[in-house]
Amino acid sequence: MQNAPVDVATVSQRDPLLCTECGHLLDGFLAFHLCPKCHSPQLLREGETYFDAFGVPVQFDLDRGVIEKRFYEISRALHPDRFVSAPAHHRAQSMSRMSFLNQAFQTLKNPTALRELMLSLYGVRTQMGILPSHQQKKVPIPVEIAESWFELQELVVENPASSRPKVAEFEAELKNLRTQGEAHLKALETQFDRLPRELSPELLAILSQIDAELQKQNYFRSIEKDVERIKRNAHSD
Amino acid sequence: MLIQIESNKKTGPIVGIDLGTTNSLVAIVEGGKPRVLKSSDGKSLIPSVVSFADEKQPVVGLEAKRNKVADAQHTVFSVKRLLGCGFEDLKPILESLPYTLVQDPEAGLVKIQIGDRAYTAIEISALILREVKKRAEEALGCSVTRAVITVPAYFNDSQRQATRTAGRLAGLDVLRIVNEPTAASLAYGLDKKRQGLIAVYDLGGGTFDVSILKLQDGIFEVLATRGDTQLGGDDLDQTMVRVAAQEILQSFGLDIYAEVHIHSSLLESAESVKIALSTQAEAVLELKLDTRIYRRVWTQAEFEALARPILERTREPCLSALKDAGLQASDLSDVVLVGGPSRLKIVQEIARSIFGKAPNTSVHPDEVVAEGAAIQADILAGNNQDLLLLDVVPLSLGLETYGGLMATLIHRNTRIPTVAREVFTTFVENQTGVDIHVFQGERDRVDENRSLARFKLRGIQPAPAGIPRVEVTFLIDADGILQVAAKDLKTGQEQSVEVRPSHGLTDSEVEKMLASGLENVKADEIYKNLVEARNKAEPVIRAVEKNWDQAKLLLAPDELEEVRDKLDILRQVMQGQKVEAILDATSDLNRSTVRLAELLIRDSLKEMR
Repeated sequence: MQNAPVDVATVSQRDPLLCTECGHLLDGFLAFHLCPKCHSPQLLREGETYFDAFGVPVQFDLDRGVIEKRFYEISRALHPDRFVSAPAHHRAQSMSRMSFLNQAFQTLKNPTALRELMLSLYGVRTQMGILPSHQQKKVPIPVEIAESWFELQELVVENPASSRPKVAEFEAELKNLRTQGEAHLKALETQFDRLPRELSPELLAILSQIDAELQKQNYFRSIEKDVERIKRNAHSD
Repeated sequence: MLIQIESNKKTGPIVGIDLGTTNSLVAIVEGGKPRVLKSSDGKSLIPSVVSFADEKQPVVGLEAKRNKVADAQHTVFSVKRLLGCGFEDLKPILESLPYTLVQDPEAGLVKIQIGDRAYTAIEISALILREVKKRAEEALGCSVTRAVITVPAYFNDSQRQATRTAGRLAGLDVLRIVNEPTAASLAYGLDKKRQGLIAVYDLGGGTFDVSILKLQDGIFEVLATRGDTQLGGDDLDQTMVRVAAQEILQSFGLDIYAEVHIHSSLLESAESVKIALSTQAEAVLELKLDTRIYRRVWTQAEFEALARPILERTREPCLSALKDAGLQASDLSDVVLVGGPSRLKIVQEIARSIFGKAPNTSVHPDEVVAEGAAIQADILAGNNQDLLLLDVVPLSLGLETYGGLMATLIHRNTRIPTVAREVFTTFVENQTGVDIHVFQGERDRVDENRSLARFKLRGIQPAPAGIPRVEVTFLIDADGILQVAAKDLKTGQEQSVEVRPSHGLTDSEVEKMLASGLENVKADEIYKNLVEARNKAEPVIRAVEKNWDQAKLLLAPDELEEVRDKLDILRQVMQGQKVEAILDATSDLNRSTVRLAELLIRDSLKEMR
């Protein structure tokens, strides 16, 4: 959806916004979606971001209470249920804009999804798609944890009974790494939010670090799931 | 897959329909309050049963239900369990149905064999909906063409599409497909004072749903939904039938599954016993087997022991739904029970044990879903701007990727409408088409999920492998139904995508049915006119018959002869189907009796003096 690198000024900050149908001057986060004059659900605008959808700044530190409140308020007016008897193009626009709003809400509410959004917005990740992207910079997995993970797997296969304390120890280590990583991410977010939104080398450096940390976190999460599975299997034996 | 309904009929009421496994209902909002529409004799439930007496003209509802035992081969019930399903899906319940299912290899659908015709579950459902529509029209005294229809929340795309198509075949513009527990929550929370987090535990005749909702300032937001589309009150009947079958086999050496009539009759008796046991400690199941009688006393305890393992299957979906919503059972302010079987103590007890609090049984278990559908209809009509439903898609949607794995595009419990885009390319040089196979489900391997549809992207410009870029948009609309569109990113050209549903009808098949359906509508109309003509003629005939003795005294012989002639003619045409002939003969008879009427009045006046 977001092709990068983008003009970092969001749509809502750029120009005076006019209704995509009647040209009425639009003001406010609700009018951004729905013209108060002709009741036309607005066409999605070129370069529109999830931040625009809620009229909030492009940053990590978001007031989720405000976002939720606005989500309900916009939904109340924009939902396809309100356009059942409207002309076909209004029905279609309500549906596509409501889909966009739903996704925007889902993304901004979830810290990991928000980080991924920011990376794609600034072109650090090429695409938010599900298929592995070849262009993506792969971060090497942390060697230490990978090694002890392999050892643990061997141990569990050879001697499931005595591996229990080791498994618990490993889990604690994983949890520790996850907490550290999360703290690191929070710190990086704060640094990012302090910088101007222009595509500067400093900004990019922070985003690359966020990218690397996210990939590490992903790796930890997938090991966590495997550990859960191993525990279940060992338990059922 | 894209079935667009363009309707010019933007007037008239919008009704809410609960198309149930066992019974269907229709409701409407009047003065801000939902009201279930009743038949002239005060019945609100329309049995979801269709019977083809003489293998031709179908009868629906109560009359059809009466045929369930007498004419079991020609009577279809619980058809909702077949909607949008393939033969494979139904193997587990095949034996439990007395009617015959056949496989339609082309559409991947099962069909119900009635005599020499096979009907899809969609057509049978359309017949039920047509009866529902008739009920509404009779109750409201006007034509009804627009409706909201409810489906189990856990219905997949095929089942939703099948429901929408059935509505269309019944002559209804289906404005929205609404999830049953969500509809129930609307009726429950209508007074706007109800706020907070609730669970709706909806055990119907054939399906189970659980939804977790947040109610706040008139917004009904579904946080998570889970369910089982092959679990319901029917299963409780079936388990009693199995016990009886075993006992009958032992005592009488009779296999009831081979005897269609006895099987149907036993199913019905089991249902009655179940219902009786919801209010009394004991009930007797009695069954006539030719000359012998099978008689058995069921205690509530015995029934509950059988029902418990089946009902325990609702526990896992409830816990998963809570987990998906990120909540604990203790966060809920209320657990609302919906559906006929929720009258059973054992169901209430199990709901209590799952959620750790006494469930709320204050809503009408049969009517609340139809009422909710009517409220949603009222919202769609623009009459109620205070309320809004925000619902989710119950199952993840994804594509088959390399190695038969599922690549999820839209996760379950995502708010709808929602959209996902994926860019596809080619694997070999000058490849001009790409096959895409869409699945729904939560498993990692596609063959463990449900195939929804396949389609081919065509007309890709010949180019080296990996160069073409076609963006496919998967949109799940507010009905929870998938729509697919494709765009060539190089040329910017939109492509039409022809989707073949795995378990459904293509647009052209629906069109064909609609066309033949119109003939049915015409036949209905002719029949209606015929009944009306006969209704006009009958009182005239009766009046002449009643006064015949007096006529013989009062009329001259030639006058009497004419009345007799006209009466004979009318009696004769009444045997036939010609509406015009009946109407003409009626007015002829009327005219011939004008003199008689005069004489009769004069006569009676004379008496009064």
